[in-house]
Amino acid sequence: MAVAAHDLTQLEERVRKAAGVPTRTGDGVVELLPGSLREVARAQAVKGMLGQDAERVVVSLVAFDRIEAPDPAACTIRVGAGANLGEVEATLQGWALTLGWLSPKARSLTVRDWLEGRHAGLRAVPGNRLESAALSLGVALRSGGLFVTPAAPRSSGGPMLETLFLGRGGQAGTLVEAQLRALPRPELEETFHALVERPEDVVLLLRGVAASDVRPVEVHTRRKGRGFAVAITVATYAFRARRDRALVEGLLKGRGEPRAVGQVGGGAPEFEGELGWDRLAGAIGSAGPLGIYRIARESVVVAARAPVKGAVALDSPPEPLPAPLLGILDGAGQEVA
Amino acid sequence: MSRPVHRLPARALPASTPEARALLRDASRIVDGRASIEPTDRLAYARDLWPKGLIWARSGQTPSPPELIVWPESLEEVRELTLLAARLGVPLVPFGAGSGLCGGTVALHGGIVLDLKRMSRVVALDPDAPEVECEAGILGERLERELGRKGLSTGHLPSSLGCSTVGGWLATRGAGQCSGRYGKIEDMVASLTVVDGRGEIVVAARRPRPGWETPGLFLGSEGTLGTICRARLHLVSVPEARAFQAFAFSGVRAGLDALRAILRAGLRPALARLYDPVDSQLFARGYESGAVHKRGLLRDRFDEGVMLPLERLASRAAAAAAFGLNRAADLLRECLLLLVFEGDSALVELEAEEAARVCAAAGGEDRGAEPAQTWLQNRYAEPFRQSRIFDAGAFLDRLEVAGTWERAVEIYERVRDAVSPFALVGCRFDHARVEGCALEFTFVGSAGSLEQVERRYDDLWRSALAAARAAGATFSHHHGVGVARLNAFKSQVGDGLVLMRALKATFDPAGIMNPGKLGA
Repeated sequence: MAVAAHDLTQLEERVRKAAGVPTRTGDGVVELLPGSLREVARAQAVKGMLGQDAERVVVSLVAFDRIEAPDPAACTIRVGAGANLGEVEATLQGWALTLGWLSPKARSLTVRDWLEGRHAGLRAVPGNRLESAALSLGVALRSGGLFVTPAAPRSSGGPMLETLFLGRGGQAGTLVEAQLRALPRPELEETFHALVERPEDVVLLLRGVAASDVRPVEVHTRRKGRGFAVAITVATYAFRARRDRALVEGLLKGRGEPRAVGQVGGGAPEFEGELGWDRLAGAIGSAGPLGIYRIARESVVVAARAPVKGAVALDSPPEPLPAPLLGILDGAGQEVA
Repeated sequence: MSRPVHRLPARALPASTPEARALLRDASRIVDGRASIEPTDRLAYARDLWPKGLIWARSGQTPSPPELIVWPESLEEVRELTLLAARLGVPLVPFGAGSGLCGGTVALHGGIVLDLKRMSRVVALDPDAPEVECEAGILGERLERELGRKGLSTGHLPSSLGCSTVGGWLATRGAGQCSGRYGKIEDMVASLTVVDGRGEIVVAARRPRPGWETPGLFLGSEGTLGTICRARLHLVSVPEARAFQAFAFSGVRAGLDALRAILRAGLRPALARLYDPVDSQLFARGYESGAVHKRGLLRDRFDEGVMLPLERLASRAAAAAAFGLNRAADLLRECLLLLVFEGDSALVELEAEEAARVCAAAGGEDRGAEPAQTWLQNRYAEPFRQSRIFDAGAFLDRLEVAGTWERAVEIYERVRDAVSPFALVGCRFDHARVEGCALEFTFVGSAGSLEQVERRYDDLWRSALAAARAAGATFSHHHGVGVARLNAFKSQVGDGLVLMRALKATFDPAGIMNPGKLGA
């Protein structure tokens, strides 16, 4: 429905005064342009009070794409939620740091999409645990308040409330900024190749590598003749590289035939999904070239040209939070208003 | 919902009410008579190991007790008890081994305490995954013993291993001593089975399984949303080899620089603990005494080596002496760093060599393997021996906070300064990770009378938590919130309390689960 220009001007005037932030109009909507987390919360609260007019008001987060210099002591980096992960990673590389070994599609996401989408900002860390890369979140709550999680390595201060935002698609609030954990970039990456008979051998091989305290960061498989070609890339440090190499080579010999197998990776993947270990052999056997990333004891991320059976697509909508819970947050928002 | 902890004379508990007797009858039908309203039971379950409760106990007082204690044996019994409590609007407080340090199980509004220790089965063990599913009431020591027979471990080895349950670890987001390598308990959970406040059974699993309820919502919830009845935990192999190292540094900053460098070098120590000068002295007294080694018994070692020096210090720290003692401690410089590496023997050897190189480059003086070996021998003894400090009319407590590396020194200095007027204070930097660490402060204080001790204790905590917050630390790393840190929790969460209230209303609409805790 077309909106009369003078109506929009009046609406702009109204929301600018109420929210106390700059505004602009265009395409039939009023954009609120907050510059801080507090302003985002206020702008959202104002939008929440507008009733039907709320459809004509957008809270823009265009100001939140900054990338600060990393903290070299704590290996952390403060970023706006709109920052691009590839650019964050490039900044970290200048400090010999990394976000971790992300899947190809994840590298092109914004911080917000990475944290709020099904990736949930998870990365595999030494010991093959999954861990959130978000040390701290700054969120404008759906209720209009602010929520900043403490910037500490770990805490035991009540439930992990951040799990209401990570991987939740912004249902409980809007992620505005984050402090991300980085990892010291290991000194070496080395790729090993082998030919194995069965998909199950690939899984056992990968589990064996992970259980040996070696860090597998990327694996590619594809069918070759009657078996499967495998390329495993591991990250390591100079002081332990010889040990890690011997271990991986030993495992390769035990499960297959270590040898050059040509190009294993299959180009840019169309599909990325999260897959449990119990379904990985099936995926290797039935999919074409398969990339395996974010290798953790809980699950892996698979990348392929087509959807992989049993994998939860990482660009699919997040699980919905229950309506009563969201209703309580909205109710609190009305109290605030 | 929240109110201060009421206390009563322990010898004069009010008699059970007719309502409590009726509750006993109803509950007994569900649990086949495993329920009690006896004063001795009510007294035993009135407190955990919150040091303030110990101070009260020394003066013949107790936190207001629950009306009824119940010992369920199954998920179904917990569910039926929860439905009963919800129907009657009676508070329900899950209880593990009672070794919490924050008063998390104190039944602020009375009601039923649900002791889960009879739910202690290992339900399933999958050595290939490797994972274990167990009931929440199993003691850590027993679980580790059973896993050890298969060459497996949770990797979660708190000093309270012999007096804490899996459910307690989960409900408070505890940390084992080797969390730097294996993670905290929240890093080990594959799924939780919870009976929520509605009496519904919720299975909260990590992805990629469906469902919005993730374990993180119940981890750390301290019984306020439901009763954690079962957990599926990831396991690790029992280490094939260990290497022990100790290095001395000329101050906290130098030690912290070395600790950080170790983690940045890609090393993953099972233990990486830096003692400040005061704690270094206490530790040294613990293992260098000739008498200690001649006796050879772990208990005697600990008594002679650690507790007796602490008791002496406690009495010396009485009244105004604390401040002077802390200032005198400023003259101390040496900080001891303990390192333990574990895993396969080849890797352990390489990591120890690299650690030695890093520490030497950071100015560390090699002190050999013995200090870390002594730590390993004594690592579970501590919680059992602390009551002697309280017997001496003093108090001992710990505040574990956490922060990122760039804030660590400021957190240390501010908290130490804030506590100095009230008690002798030492600190260890522990649970180290790439981005930061926990700072575990030990306070030993005393005063003229029990009332003065309590006042001093309260003043100390207020000052310490305010200083930690001002320096950018969390108020808790692995002991939870309970009643001791409720105000700090509210202050830190701020507007986020609405999230806690929303979770409470979702899972416990009748508000029966451990009411008065966590601001909901």
